Amino acid sequence: MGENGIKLRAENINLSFGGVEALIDVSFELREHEILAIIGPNGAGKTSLLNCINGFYRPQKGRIMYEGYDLTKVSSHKIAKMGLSRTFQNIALYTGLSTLDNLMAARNIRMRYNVFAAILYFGWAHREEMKHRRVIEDIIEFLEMESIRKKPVGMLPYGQRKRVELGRALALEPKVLLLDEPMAGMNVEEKEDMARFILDTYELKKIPVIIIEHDMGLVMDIADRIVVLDFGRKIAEGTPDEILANHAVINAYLGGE
Amino acid sequence: MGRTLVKTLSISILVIILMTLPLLIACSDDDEKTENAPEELPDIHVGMSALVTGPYGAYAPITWGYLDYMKDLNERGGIDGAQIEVHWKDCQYDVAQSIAAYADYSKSYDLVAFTGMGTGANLALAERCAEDGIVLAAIGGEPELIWPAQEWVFASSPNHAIGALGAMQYAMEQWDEGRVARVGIAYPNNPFGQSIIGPIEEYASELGYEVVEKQEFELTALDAVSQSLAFRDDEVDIVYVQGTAKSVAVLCKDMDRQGFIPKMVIGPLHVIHPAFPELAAGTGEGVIGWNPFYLWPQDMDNESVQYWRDKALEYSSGDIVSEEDPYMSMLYMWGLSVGVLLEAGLREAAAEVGAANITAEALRNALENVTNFKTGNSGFQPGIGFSPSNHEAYSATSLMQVQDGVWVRINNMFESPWKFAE
Amino acid sequence: MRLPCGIINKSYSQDTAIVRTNLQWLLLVLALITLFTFPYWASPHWISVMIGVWISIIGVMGLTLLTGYAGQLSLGHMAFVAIGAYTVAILMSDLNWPFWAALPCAGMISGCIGVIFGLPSLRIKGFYLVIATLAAQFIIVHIISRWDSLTGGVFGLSVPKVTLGGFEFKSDFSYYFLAMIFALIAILIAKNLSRSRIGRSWIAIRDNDIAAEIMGVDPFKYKLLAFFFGCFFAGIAGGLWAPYLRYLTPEQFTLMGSVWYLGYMVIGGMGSIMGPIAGVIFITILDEFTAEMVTDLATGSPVFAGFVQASRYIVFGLAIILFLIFEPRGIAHRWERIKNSYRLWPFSY
Ligand SMILES: Nc1ncnc2c1ncn2[C@@H]1O[C@H](COP(=O)(O)OP(=O)(O)O)[C@@H](O)[C@H]1O
Ligand SMILES: [Mg+2]
Repeated sequence: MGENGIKLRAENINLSFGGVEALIDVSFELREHEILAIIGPNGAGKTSLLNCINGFYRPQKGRIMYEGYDLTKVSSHKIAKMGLSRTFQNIALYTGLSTLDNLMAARNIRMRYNVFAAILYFGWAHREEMKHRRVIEDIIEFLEMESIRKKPVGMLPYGQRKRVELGRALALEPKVLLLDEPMAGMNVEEKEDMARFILDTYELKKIPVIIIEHDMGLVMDIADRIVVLDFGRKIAEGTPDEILANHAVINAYLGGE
Repeated sequence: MGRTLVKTLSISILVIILMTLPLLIACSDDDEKTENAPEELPDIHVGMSALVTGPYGAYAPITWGYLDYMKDLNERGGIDGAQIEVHWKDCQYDVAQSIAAYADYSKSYDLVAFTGMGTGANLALAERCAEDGIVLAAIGGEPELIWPAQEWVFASSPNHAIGALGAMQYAMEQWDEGRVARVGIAYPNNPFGQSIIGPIEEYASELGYEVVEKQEFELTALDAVSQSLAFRDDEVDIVYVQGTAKSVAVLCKDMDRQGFIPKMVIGPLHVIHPAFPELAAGTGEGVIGWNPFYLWPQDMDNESVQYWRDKALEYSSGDIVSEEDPYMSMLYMWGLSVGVLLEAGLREAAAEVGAANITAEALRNALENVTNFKTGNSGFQPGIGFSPSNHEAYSATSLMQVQDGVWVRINNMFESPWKFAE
Repeated sequence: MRLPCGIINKSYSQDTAIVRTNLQWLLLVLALITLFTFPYWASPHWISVMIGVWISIIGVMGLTLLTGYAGQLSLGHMAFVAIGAYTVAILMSDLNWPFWAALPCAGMISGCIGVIFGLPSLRIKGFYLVIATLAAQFIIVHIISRWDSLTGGVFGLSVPKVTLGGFEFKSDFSYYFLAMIFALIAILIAKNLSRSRIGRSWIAIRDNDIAAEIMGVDPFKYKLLAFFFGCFFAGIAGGLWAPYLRYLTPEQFTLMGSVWYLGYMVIGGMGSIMGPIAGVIFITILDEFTAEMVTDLATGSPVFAGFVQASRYIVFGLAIILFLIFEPRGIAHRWERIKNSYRLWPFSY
């Protein structure tokens, strides 16, 4: 789609909140087929960068090009329609809805029936609902969430909620998947499951993934390329091996005192 | 888990019982036959959408007065031996609840009369009563209900305009400046407030004053600065303020603060409240309030006032009776006056068709034949009477004034200048 | 939602159906029979009380969509009921429109004005929105009480009766059916909206507006849609009130009324269609019970008039406080739990 296999390109992003400069001149590319990890210490600006891509934050300078559009000028919900889907660092599920309905809620943009059909429900709306229900059931099966299908997500344990978030992101039928610390706070077993789901998704759907993650071992295992942020600046970019060998990264992040 | 289930179930059952119990009670009370002494005469049924609680709960003494009058009437032998059964329910001044009560009583019993509370309820009830042929025995209030006379609506006491005109007539009798008095009106934008403007303006030339300023103000307002300034700038001599004790006090204080002291300030019956002088913090001295009844504690020399004060003590345990509170007794009298109206009509009807045959129709026709009806117990108001063109019990008023911080009667009941266009 | 042991959903369609077991069908049919025959066996009093219940259910259902589902707190709902009531009254008496044409108009006008007052919701939420909707309450009722030529001002105006063919909906008996049918339709529409993509999007905005927007819910569209439907329902409720009350004055549509609408919703349960139904019925019965109590207490003499007055407030307030302590999430929630424990009975897990 994009030129030379580039799916998304961020150019000179500058974002500040009052005096706090969250992102300074950050540029990077996401290729058509890769898992790109963004790493960096807390407060480095990783989440802010995703928020810019989602149109939730508006950078003061710079562009984010995707399918010929500058995302910094598109409203959030339209960006979702364009196929950018994500999970959140602090779980942001619809707590009043069941697992199933959380996923169905994300299908909203793919459903094709109007208000009048919704009022009548029977017929058109019902058919559409059932069609999308089938898609959702596939995702539930894929993420092994059958047992929590009808449970309100507010009552689920942390690990499962993270999984529901991934499910919701997938329900959107994304063309790009953005994952903000999907494995934070999980035990080893849960992390392995999650990593497997992410890799399977990547294989199955053939979509590029941006993942923010702190667990370096995991990042080295699954990422094709890594972007390193520190105090809002990109300090390095490259394959896991290149990053491991980078002094700036070691100093800033990997604990080089 | 077991315990949680038990808890869940028990709370559920509690909720269900709570929800169904009143329903059962309410559905099952289809009148256990009262085991009174065997009466040959059938009861006469009247209904009331009463006002006891709610935002206007302060007016509850009206209901107590009405109920006490009926109780007393029954104890005195009813209407030639026929007892009067009152069906009533606390409707909190709410139109929908009043209509529900009316629907209930008018379907369940052969009502001859119904009494509602509040302008909205009365206006809605008037249409229904006319349709069903039931007398609406209203307490006095808004002229809209009574001018012109509606076939089925009768008011037991004068409306606000009559009181206002009576007070204005008195004011002009006192006026000795040798020029036309300048009158300012302050009123809230509701039926209570607007009802007096037309009549006061209409009688300006006849009574010899000029309305130079009309100011709207809220009964709940915390200040009345702009109204005070307007009255001051227009050099108003007499301020007629259609307000409550609290709002009149606010106006008095603010006029005083602007250095403006009108020659006279007149308020409606609601101003005759024991708290008014204190609320006005000294600025209420000389304020006049009109009232269509004789009241305790001011008129304890009136036998019927004494009689009803004792009755109130006996029936309602005296909550309504206080040595200083003419306002409570005014509300109580308001309720009593409906009783007087009904007694007058029912006695007349009994004389015409016999106590056993009183229908709503008979009551309505009889009411129009009532002239100067008075009993020993109704001396707290003048004799009452109606005609086909006049459905208002009487059109007199009396005045009280704040003197040295207390309400003092300044004259007896006198006819208001209002004349019916025959 | 769990099903009784042994019931297996054979299709997704079956899984989402409202009524799923034979027992549920039986209960539904029984309930409908009870409701349709109600005026034949209930006392006149309860018929008129039920008319009020049906109409209130419609209004509170609107508030439930707006506040319970979409999370847009409104303290001005009674004003939109007023718009509906006055629209019907004016169209019927001034323009001689039939009720059946005036009622949808009432809903539409109320809904559209609701959208206008909903515009601030795009920028503000929570307490700030409460103040904005409070403004709606005051502005609308103020306009109604000032626009004398149209609304009759503070003295109000009378409303003609509803007719259909030659039939006049004059008695409470007939009006019961009118109110009930509209209420049942309203309940069905609300249920359908709530289980459609629209209802889910509303809940998404309510539960996490930022995530909702990032996940593709257009807040502009769905918030305004919520205001439209919330106020549309209120307008219909008002449109049904008008010919029933026969006489409208602005003082019937108070801020207190709006607060009570919120009360019905909270007591019934916020985010469910059962909520408004349960809340209105519960409060109404409690209200009737305490009113009855006042009459009974005052009839035995002598009594302290003040005590009789206070008793109603105390019992009413206490019942509500106790209720909220034991079931803060409303009756509908309790009902769900009863259903669930029945399904598992006698084996819990
Ligand atoms: N909405 C906001 N308002 C003010 N400051 C913010 C906001 N969001 C992020 N920041 C600031 O931007 C910087 C980067 O934050 P963030 O992107 O969350 O970092 P990371 O995800 O890398 O831990 C931090 O200093 C943070 O305080
Ligand atoms: Mg972060």
